[in-house]
Amino acid sequence: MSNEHDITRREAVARTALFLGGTLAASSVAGVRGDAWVRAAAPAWRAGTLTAGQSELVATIAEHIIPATDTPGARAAGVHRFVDVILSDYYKGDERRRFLDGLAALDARAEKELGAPFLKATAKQQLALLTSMDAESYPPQRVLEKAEPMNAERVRMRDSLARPGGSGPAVSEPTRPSVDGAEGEAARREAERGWFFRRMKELTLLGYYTSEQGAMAELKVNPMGVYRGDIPYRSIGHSWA
Amino acid sequence: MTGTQETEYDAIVIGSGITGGWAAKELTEKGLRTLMIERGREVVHGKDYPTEHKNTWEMPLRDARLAPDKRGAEEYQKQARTGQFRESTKHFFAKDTKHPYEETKPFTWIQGDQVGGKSLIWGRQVYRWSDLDFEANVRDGIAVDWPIRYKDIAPWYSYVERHIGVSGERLGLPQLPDGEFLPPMQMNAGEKHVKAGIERRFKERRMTIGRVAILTANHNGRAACHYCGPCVRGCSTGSYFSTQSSTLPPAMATGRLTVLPDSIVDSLVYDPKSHRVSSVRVVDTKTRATREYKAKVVFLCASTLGSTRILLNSKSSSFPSGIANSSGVVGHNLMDHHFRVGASGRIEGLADHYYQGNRPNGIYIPRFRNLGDAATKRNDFVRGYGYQGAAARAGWGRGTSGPGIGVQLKRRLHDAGDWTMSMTAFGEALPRHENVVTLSDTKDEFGIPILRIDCGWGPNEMAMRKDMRQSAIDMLEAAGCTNIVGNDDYKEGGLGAEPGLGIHEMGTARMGRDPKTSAVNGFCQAHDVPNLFVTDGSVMASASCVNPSITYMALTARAADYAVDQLKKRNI
Repeated sequence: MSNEHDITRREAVARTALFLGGTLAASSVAGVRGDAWVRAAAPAWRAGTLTAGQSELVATIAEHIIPATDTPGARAAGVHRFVDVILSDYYKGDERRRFLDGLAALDARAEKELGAPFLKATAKQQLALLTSMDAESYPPQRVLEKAEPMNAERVRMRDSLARPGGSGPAVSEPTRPSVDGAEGEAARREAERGWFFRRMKELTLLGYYTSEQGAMAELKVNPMGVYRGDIPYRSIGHSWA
Repeated sequence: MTGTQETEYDAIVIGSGITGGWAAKELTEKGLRTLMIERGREVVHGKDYPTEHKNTWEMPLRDARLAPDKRGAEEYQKQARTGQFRESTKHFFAKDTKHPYEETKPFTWIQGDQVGGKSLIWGRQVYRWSDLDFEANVRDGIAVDWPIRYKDIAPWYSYVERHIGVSGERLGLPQLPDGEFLPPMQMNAGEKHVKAGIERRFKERRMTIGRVAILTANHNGRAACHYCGPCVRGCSTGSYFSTQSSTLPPAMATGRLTVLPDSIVDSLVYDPKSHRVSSVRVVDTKTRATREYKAKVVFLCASTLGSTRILLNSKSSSFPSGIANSSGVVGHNLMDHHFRVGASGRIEGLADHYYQGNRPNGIYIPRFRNLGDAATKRNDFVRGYGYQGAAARAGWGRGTSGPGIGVQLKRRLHDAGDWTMSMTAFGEALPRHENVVTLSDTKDEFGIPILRIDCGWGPNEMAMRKDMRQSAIDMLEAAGCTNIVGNDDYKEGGLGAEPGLGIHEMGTARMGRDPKTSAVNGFCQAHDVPNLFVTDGSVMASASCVNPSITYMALTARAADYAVDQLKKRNI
């Protein structure tokens, strides 16, 4: 037993030497990519939930939300594959169905307003439709918070504050208070209208900025090595992923 | 490490978490051949931290929180209530299907199920208690007086701090005694700004960087923190205190420690002739075989509720309501810290400031209410609270909070967003007899009765929460913040800020001077059973408002010193 432990400590010391060497991005230390990533990126990847048509629909919408510029966009980052993983391995039936229904409704709306399924419309038409949906999907914040307190920005904000250990295992995170009464019902209905688009946008941003492309090409992962509490913003010049 | 043929030792330690590790270290270093029994699986330092340093894109769900309504949380319906339970940390939490409990009112019992226990996933915040805490019960006429005072435990705080390494800033405050600190971590620009505003307005309030069991310099053969961020995934450089990094190595180095994982304690067997625990009855969680181990002295360090369950289930004709429970207090006076109440606000004017590195720590605002003088006295509640919090600049997540798509959105999210300061209070809860755990008629898969927990907040906590929220708003206003939003997640009868969620459960086998009203004495020795020591959170007679773990460590080291002395004097 004590031998086993010695070996572990030697390994730890070796790793430490690596860390002490300077400021290394997490990716360069971790080195090997995880199996899941390899699976998701492999040409032979197959969706678990989305049909080929749905997958293409998601990829197209996502690319409009975060397009390729001088850095990769949502499609290159595999956001549609991430969305499929979330639908297959994270959401339960109701939430998955609600998302897929939203996808179908979007296509139906394209048919009605553009005279063609979404994927058959021109890129310009697609963008116009998504821009309308975006504008319709964000009622005043107080309405959203009442109906949907798990707003991803708030979760992530509180997460990013709490996870580094500020409050330890006693991490604070918004929970979903139940919405009572008529006021809650009205808020729920108002918020309901934009649910799919908001969720689609959240999943796009989440999938993109936590992908290697989003987190290392568009932004940078906040590197390990040292902590510098107060540095000029211009010395970094971008948000940490 | 696994298994042992031997059944007789000098000492048995039940549990391998924060206090079990300390008991094992102290007892083995003092020459005792020690068996450490752990119900969960083995976790080898470094090797068994599978998500350490993984990038988000290397995790299929990108390290999603596994909330109760999500796939992956099916067997963890209670553990999933804490935001700590996520894709990257799931393997360090107990399955609720394997270790169930009942709750008559919402109570979240977060449990570890591995060697190292919750020391692998704890918050690492360490604050000494003061005489404001140790004298609180007698001053308020509540529960029983602590049998010890600050002077009794102060040298043991130092002893523990020197070993584990604690970084922090000295403040010279009587209510939050300074320790033996490594250099403090840095505050960021937002926090410095808020600190200045608060201290300008309120002379009795201070903001400091959190005091943490994380190394800011190499220490005792362990490396300084490399600021990767999520300590709770395990740290192969041993830069934060865990059993694996800090107490197991010296214990193993003595050659006197045997660790027995996958072994759950059913009960302690009492010998009425000698008035001692004669053996510990254990169930092998893999084979279900039962076995008994004997020792001269037994340290019960199975976590507050784990230890209480063992005490209650150790019934005999001498102790029909559980061993060491002639007083009847075992199971009563369950406490936790009540939290998830505070405020957040935007900090203006720091657009040219940023930070680099992932600091696993936040700020701390020490208690400023009811300090014993007229100026800080409150008429609406007794005791007090402190705040933990942090400032940060919003990241890409802010893109989900309003309209905007396309190139413009991507360009906007390339830049860091506004600064936000967020603080949440941790308040002291009172010991109340009606907050009680008992044994259920239901048994777990190992044949051991599970706990039924009946615990809720009382009027003092509710009154305090109003002030916890308002004071946070006041301080953010003093710092010139805008868009200030107060919050209180407590919901009567529901989840949000229910007891247990603070993961500072304590008090169910309290210490005291009188065997009629307490379970253990000031050395954590059971009044009724001289060779039984309980040294985890169950012995706490009150809760203070500061994080309790270092006090558990100090009490454990002190108890081990006393126990070995008593063994030498043949009093045990």
